Amino acid sequence: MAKKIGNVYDKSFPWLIVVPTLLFLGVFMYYPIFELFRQSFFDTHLAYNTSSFVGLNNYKDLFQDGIFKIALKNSVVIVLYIVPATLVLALFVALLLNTLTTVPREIFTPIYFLPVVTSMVAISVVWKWIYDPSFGLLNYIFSRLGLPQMKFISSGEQALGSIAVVQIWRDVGFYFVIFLAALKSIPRVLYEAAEIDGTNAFQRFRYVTVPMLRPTIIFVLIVSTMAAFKIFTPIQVMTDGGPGNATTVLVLYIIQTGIENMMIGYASAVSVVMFFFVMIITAVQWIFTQRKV
Amino acid sequence: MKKLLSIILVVLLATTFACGGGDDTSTSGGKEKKVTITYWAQASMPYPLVNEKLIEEFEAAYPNIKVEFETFPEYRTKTNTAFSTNTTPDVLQLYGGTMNHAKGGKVAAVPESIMSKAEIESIYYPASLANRLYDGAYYGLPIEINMEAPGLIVNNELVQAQGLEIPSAWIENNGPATWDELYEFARKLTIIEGGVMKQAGLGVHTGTESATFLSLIWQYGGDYRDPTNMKVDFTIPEAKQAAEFLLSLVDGDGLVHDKSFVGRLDGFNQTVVAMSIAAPWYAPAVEDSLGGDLDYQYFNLPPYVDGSDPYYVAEGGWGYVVSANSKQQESAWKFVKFMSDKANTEYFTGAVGAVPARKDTDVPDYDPSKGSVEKALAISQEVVEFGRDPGAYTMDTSQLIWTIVRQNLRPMMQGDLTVDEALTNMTNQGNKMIQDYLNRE
Repeated sequence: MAKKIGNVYDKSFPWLIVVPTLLFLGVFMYYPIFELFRQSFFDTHLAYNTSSFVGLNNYKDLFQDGIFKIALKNSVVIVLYIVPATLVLALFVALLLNTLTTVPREIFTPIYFLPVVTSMVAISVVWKWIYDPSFGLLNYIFSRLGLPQMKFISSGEQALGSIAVVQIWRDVGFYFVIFLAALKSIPRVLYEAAEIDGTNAFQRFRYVTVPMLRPTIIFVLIVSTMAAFKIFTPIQVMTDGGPGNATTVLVLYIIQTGIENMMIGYASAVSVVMFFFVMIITAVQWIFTQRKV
Repeated sequence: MKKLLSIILVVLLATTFACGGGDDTSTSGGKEKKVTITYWAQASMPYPLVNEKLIEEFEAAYPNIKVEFETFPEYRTKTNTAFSTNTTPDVLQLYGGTMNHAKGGKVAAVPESIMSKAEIESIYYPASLANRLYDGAYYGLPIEINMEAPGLIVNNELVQAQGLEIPSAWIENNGPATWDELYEFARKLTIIEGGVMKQAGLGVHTGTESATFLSLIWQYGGDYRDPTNMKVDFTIPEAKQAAEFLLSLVDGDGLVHDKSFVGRLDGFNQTVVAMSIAAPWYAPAVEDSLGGDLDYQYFNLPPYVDGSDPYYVAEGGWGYVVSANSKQQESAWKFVKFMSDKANTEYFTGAVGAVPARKDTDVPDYDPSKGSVEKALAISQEVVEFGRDPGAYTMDTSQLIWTIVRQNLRPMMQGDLTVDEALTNMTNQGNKMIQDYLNRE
C-alpha cells in the first residue's frame, strides 16, 4: 500500500511542481503576449469600449511614422553602445578580481556590485547632475584639466552615448559577478597543462579561459542585449526622450503611445515589432556563437 | 402555519429588495439608505489634503452619502487603464478633454437636473468647456482653466546679482509693455562664458514651448485650426514665422536660452534661468521647489508680436467626471455639484494654485511688489479673455500639442529637423489623428 502511494506521489510530484508554474506563466506571460499580438490588429483605444479589426493598418502606419523610426534606430544604437562595452568591461573586472587573493576580492566585489542594488531612478538623478553642462562634476573636472566642455545629455549627438555610459556603469557590476563565478569553475589543471606546454598569459586566456567561458559569454551577450533593448528608466529620468527625440527609444515610445495617448492597439504593434526584432537578434547571436572554436 | 410563515417571509424579502433596488438615497420607511461612492484624485500634494477637507464637509452636508477617497501616484496611467477595464470609480478627477471618453461611452453627461447646458455655459469660461463638449452635452465639469503660457516668472536675486532692478513699470502694469523691452532685459541677464551658457536670460525651450509656438501663430495673425473643424494646417506662413522666432531665441547671436542648456522650469528651479516664460501653475511649483523665501516676481507676458493681443493656449484642465458605469449616478453628481460650487472651487483652486474655471470666483488679494501664488492667479485672470482653445474638435488636444507638435518642435529647435520638415510632420500627423478619431465608431 505504502509503495503504491509512493508510486502515485512519484508520478504526480512533477505535475505538482510544473502545473502551478505553467498556470502562472500562462496567465501572466503567455496570455498577455497573445493579447498583445491580437491587439496589434485592432484600433484599440483605452477611452473606447469597442475596437475594430484593422488588419495590418497599425503596422503600415508604423513604417510611415517618423518617431517610430527614430525610436527603433536609437534602440539599436544604444544596444550597440551598451552590450560590447558591458561584456568587455565585466570580463576585464572579473579577470582582474580573479587574480586577487580572497580577502581583497571579497572587499572589491561588493563595491563593484553596489550600483546593481541601487535604485536606477536614484542613479539617474545623480548622473543627471554629474552630466550638467554648466555645473556638473564632469565638466568641472574637464575644465581643471584644460579639456573642452561637453554638453552630454543636453546634446543631440552625445545624449544617447551619455545614457549608455550610465547603464554600462551599472550593468558591469552585475555581469562581472557571473564571469567571476564562471572563472572560478575553470579547473586549474588546464592552466597548469598550458603552462607546461610553454604558453604565455595571453595564449592561456585565448585558448583556455575564453573557450571555457564560452557558455557564460553567450549567456551574458544574449541577456544584456535583451536588457539593453528594454532600457527605459535612465532615459525617462534624465532626458524624457530629448533633446528633440535624440534619446526616444522603443519602450519610451510604447509608453507614450499606449498609456499617455491611450492608443493601445498601435502601441501593441510597436511592441510586436520590438519583440520580433529582439528575437531575431538573439537568434542571430545564438547561431553565430554556436560555431566550434 | 408553515405556509403562512413562508408567505410572510417572501413578502418581507420582496419588500426589502424593492427598497434596496434603484439608485442611491432611496428611503425605506422614512429612513434614507446610506450609499457609498468611490472618488479618485491624484496623489501629489496638496491635492489629497484639499480633497479630504471637502469630502468631510460633503459628508456632513449629505450624511447618507459616504465618499471612499483614493489617490494614486501614477494617476494618468491608473485612470487610463481603469477606463480600459471599466474599473473606474463613481467620480474621478480627470485632466483635460473628455471628448474621447464621451464618444467611447466611458463617462456620463452632466444631467439637466444637476446643471443645465445653459447654466454651465453661463458659469464657466468657454475655453474651459470646449474640450468637454461632445454631441451637444457636457461630459464633466472643469475645476480650472489651464493657461499655457501667458506669464513671466523672474528670479529677483539673479536680476540683482547682475546689478539690475526689475523695472518699476513692470510691477505697476503687471508685466513688460512690449516684447522688445522684455527681450532687451533678458539679453542683459544672459551669461555666456567661453562659448558655454552659464545663465539663461529667458527660459524658452523644454516645458510648454509647443503652447508658446501656437500663441505665436495666433499673434502673427494665422490659425492652424480649420474653420470646418476637420483638419489642422501648420504649413501656413505664420507657423513658419513662429518657428523661426523660437529658433532665434535658442540659437545664434541673439539667443537668451541655449538649445542645449537645462530646460526652462528645471533651470529656473536650479537658479540658472533668470526669467522664464511661465504659466500661473509655475508659481506654486517654484515655491514648492525653492521654498517660500525665494525673492521672485510673476507677471503677464506682453504680446510677442507688436500690435497683436497676447493670445495663448487655454483649455479645461483638471475637472470632475462621473463614470458611465457608476451605479450611484445621482449621488455621484450631487458630490460633483458640491465640489464645483463657487466656495469650494475657490478653496480648491486657491489651495492647489490653479486659475478657477468658474467666472464668478473672487480674485485673490495680492501684494504687487512680490511674486506669490495669489498674484499669479489674480493677474492671470486679467488676461483670460485672450485664451484660445487649441482645437477641441481634434478630439485630443493633449495628443496634438504635447505629442505631435512637441515631438516635431523640439527636434526642430535642436536642429535635427528643418522648419519645413517639422511643420509638415505636425500637419500630417495631426490630420491623421483627427481622421482616426472621426472614423472611430
